[in-house]
Amino acid sequence: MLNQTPQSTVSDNNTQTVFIVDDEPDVRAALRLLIKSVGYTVECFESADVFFNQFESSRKGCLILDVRMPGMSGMELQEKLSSMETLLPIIMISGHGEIPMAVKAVQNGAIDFLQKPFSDQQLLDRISQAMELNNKRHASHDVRQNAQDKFASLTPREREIFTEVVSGKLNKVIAYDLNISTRTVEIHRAKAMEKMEAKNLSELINLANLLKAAD
Amino acid sequence: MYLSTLEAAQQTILDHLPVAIIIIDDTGLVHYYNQTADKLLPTDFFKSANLTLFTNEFNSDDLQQVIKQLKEHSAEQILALHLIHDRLFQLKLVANPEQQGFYLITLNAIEEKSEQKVDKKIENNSLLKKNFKELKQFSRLSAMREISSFFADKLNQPLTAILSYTQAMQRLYLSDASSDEIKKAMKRVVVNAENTGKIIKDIRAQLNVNTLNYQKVCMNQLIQESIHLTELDNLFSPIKFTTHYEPAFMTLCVDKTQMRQVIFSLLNNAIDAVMEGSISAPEIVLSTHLSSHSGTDSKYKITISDNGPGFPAEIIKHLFEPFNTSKKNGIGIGLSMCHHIISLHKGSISLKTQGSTEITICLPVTSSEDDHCQ
Repeated sequence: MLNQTPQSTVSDNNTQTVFIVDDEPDVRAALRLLIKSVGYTVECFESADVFFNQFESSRKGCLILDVRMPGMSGMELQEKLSSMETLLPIIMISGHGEIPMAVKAVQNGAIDFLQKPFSDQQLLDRISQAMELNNKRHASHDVRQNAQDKFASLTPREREIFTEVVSGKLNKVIAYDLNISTRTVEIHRAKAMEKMEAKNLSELINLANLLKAAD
Repeated sequence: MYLSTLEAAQQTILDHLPVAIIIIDDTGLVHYYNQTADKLLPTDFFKSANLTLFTNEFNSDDLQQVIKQLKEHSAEQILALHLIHDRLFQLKLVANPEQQGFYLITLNAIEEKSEQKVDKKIENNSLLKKNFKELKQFSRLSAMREISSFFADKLNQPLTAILSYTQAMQRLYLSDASSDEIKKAMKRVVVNAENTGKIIKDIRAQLNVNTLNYQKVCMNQLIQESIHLTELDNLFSPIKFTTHYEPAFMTLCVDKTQMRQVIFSLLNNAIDAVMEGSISAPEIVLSTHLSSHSGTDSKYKITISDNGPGFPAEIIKHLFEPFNTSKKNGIGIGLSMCHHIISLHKGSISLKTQGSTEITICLPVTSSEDDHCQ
């Protein structure tokens, strides 16, 4: 789903936002004030359902998520988001701090599980960590997306030759296998390299590996 | 059901036999028990209505095993031995000659050669005591866990808001932010701090009693009900527990719920005391007494004594103050609560430690007290 989304050019989507989901109005307002005071953009949601319905998966940033809420719980939202392969790192917060729950949240990919009340420094450190991780995830996602786009622009014959080349075969062998002249292979290969923006064979192999990982 | 097939006359006879009789089917389901069984065994014995649920030591596989042995070998099989009030009882399974698939269980006291009896008793007692103690400890810990989770839940939300608002204000102040935002945040801190205080007050109000709901109550019945709440009633209790009611009937005007709480707490304390490791033959006695039968100042006394180790001197000094405890897992609420409730009843509570520990509740019996009652 995410893979098909074209890279948005809307400037709003390129700034990182701290999303807060907590059912307690004062906790939301206090966290908003605190996080805004260090310069982040903040958006608050009173329930997991509201967040889930409004969230666009291309948005960048991180999510501060309360565990226990009426309606969809924080753990459920985490599960839903991870099945959608969002790139949003999650910081769980809870007034209970049950160990099994914390373990489960972290196993499911949460950055941390903070027990309420927590210190501002602890939270802000986690947020900056989360933002960094989000950037990395987006960067690698972009590279992969770019490779996919480029691969999509190849003709069927070029793709065929691309696959053979990266598997390590020599032009002569490919020509023999496909029953075409070596010269034709060279032309298709040059075209594929150009479209894939690869300067040499090793760059081409790197791109092939990226595409494999994305599948 | 088995009962429907039992003729009325038969049932009357069964009811009045001096032997406790329980009739079960081959799944352990209880179909009938006579009056003697009802009297001898604690009431919750029959609540589960299935023999295999009475104790962990005896599951349905065990029952099937015994039934199989019964069919193959003899006319009766011994299910288990149990100590009830210091006497060893034998639970025996007998095939029911009247109806196939149903079994009689009889419970009778057995006499053994004296040496054997003592051995078995001591062995049985220490095992029972261990199980019993673990059970009690577990229920206390889980209750405390529940209380602490309740507090944490209620208080953590406003505390989180207060902390985050304040820390945001510290940052805003340093960065010369608009005083408007800081003012707003300060207001919310005040509101949340007040809410936290209110929550604590509410919790305390729920735990505190300041008014009594007087009712005319049969004291013996009230005491009996309190006993049922403890494990003293349990068939497998290793404690020898005796009651002595004098006078046999007594009605007083008291707050039933609060008074039951007091007697329950005191009994529980006694149980904890005698379950200390060093006491080999735990014993608790509850007795009631009416002093000066005539006149308006007669006093009704309930005394609970136990052969536990008693209280250390430094504890006795502050015995009725809250959060003062000699128990490992106690929070020191019980006795201060009892003292408070008894004072509201215009009575007194006192403690004597001389070999055994004796705690006495003294309640006034005045004709004017009837005015409280409806």
